[in-house]
Amino acid sequence: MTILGQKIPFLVIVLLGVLMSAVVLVVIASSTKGARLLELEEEVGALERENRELTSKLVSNTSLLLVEEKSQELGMIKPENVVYLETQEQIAKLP
Amino acid sequence: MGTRLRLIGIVFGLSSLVLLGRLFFWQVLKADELSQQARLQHQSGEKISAQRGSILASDGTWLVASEESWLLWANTTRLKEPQRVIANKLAPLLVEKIDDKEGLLKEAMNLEGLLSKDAQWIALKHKVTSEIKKNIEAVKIEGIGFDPEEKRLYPEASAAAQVLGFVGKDSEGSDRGYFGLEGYYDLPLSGKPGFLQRESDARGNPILSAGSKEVSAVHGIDLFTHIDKTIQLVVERELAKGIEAYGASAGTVIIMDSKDGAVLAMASSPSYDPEKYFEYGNEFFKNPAISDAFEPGSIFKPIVMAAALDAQVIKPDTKCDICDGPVKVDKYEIETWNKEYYPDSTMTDVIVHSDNVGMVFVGQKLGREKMFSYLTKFGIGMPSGIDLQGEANPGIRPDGKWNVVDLATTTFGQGIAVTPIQMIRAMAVIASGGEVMVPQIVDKIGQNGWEEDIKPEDGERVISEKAAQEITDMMVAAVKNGESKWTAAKGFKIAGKTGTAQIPVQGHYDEEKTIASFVGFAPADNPKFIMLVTLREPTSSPWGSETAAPLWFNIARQLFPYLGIQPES
Repeated sequence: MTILGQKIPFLVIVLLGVLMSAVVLVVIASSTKGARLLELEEEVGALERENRELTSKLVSNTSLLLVEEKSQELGMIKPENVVYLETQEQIAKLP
Repeated sequence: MGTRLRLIGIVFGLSSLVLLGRLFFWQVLKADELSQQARLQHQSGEKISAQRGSILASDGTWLVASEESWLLWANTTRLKEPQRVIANKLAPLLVEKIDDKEGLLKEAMNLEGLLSKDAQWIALKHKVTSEIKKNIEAVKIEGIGFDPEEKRLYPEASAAAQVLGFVGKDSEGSDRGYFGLEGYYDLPLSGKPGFLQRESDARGNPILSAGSKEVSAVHGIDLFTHIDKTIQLVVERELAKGIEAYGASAGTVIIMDSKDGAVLAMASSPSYDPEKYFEYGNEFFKNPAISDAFEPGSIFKPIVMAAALDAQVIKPDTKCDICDGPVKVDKYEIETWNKEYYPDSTMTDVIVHSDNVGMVFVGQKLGREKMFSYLTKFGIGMPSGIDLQGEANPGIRPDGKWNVVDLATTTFGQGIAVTPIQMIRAMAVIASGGEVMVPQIVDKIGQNGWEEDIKPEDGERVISEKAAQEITDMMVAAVKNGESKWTAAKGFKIAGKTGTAQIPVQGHYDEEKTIASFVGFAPADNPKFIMLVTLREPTSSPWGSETAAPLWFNIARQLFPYLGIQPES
């Protein structure tokens, strides 16, 4: 093959073709990976948001005020008379 | 033919010149501007916000946490409906109670006012919850949008509000902690925001080959406090009941572990809701437990007595030889609180009867220099060092400027001012066996599994263990046989002391208003807690023994089973 009267070896043409194809492939791969990266980032964002929402629920549900309210709804009451037992005295002795 | 060719040549030449000129204009003169526009199209930079750290109770559950919320904004250039229509659509979704017509109207008017502003971008509402966001998005109002921001979540509502502080805005509109723990630990709680810069293609996908710059955000650290939620809620509830029952204008309760200075609960009333701090005046934000000075009155007597015992100028059975009537000090006559006198009282009797004359006797034995030296060692006149923003220090009269009257009145807690935290810290010296501790709210700091203990400072010895034991025995006798014995928890060994102090007003003492207080620890021999109760201007009775003491025992009775404190026998 000749270009502007110069003879270009066939090997150079093939090499150029391969290089051009490689560039196109790299650009396509990079673009696909970019899209996948964005997708993963969105997934991470969504999971983080869900995690924060669940944490908020956990925070609210561990509220002692809420527990107290629920215990009252269930009819629980505070112990009025506390009885203390002497722990040092043995209740029953082995023979 | 030649003319035509020349004409065409001139036209081409001129066109080329115009093109070159235009090219020069865009490529050279406008180069920077165009490059910037191109960069804006394909380069993106965004701030990665740092999550503010949580504040946790001693059981690891939350006192304060951060949750995602939203800033509701309007882009006025994209609004398609009249401002009033938009305001009327948004208001019902933003008010707390839809039935509150007045609140609804106020919200609608506020929104309409904001939307009428001459600006392209207007912030309509901060801290909108995700649920409200979903409801607003469902209405589909063009030109209305959201930006993420953080909101503080208080699962125990206003409990320990003055200990926690609140998060407001600084002059640049950024979140900032004020008062309490939020103020004291603002920097570590805030963390450090990050930054992400990269190039994107026409679809917005990142161009990986172009490289990117990313600085990760450092989230704020979590504070693990000594605050025991159960005790805190008991204290809040009983304090509110006590203030109502005794007609007091204000009150404070502090509960501490005397062994290491760990603050288990701290509450004052009136208080505020940290979530709606903007609805309250500045006077609600400061924590009276660390910032309000008061004359302690008789609860100060054990401190002076402990100093005299340690200095060995008296013993528990030393007899007071001036206790048979009022004592004259300079031009003043000092009487007992009930005008009853006990000749030859022992020092234990002086504490049991809360005898002002007996304390003047102790003061005379101790002397001015030793009195000043001991009070300083007990931490009177200096900040307690508690890790909360806003601690005040009323100070102490300088050494060498004490006259005989100052010495005498200080022995029974008048003419000297302390904050509640200074008072409980001084009393904790006795409870701990003679060492002074620094009160501490935060036990540990940490994040994502990493933890660092904030060790309490080693206590300096103030009085000997013997002196501490002697004054403890006197305080046990005061609870069993003193004026508050009617309300004491029977069967438990408690060391305590009542106090009733007059309130100084413009150079004299108010005849009617008092500050009633009770300080004590239990079990006396191996204390699991020390508690101070103060009530300002109680109206049911001016006396500490009839107001602060029963409140102290009401709280203590609930703490005994919770902390595993057994009766004496």
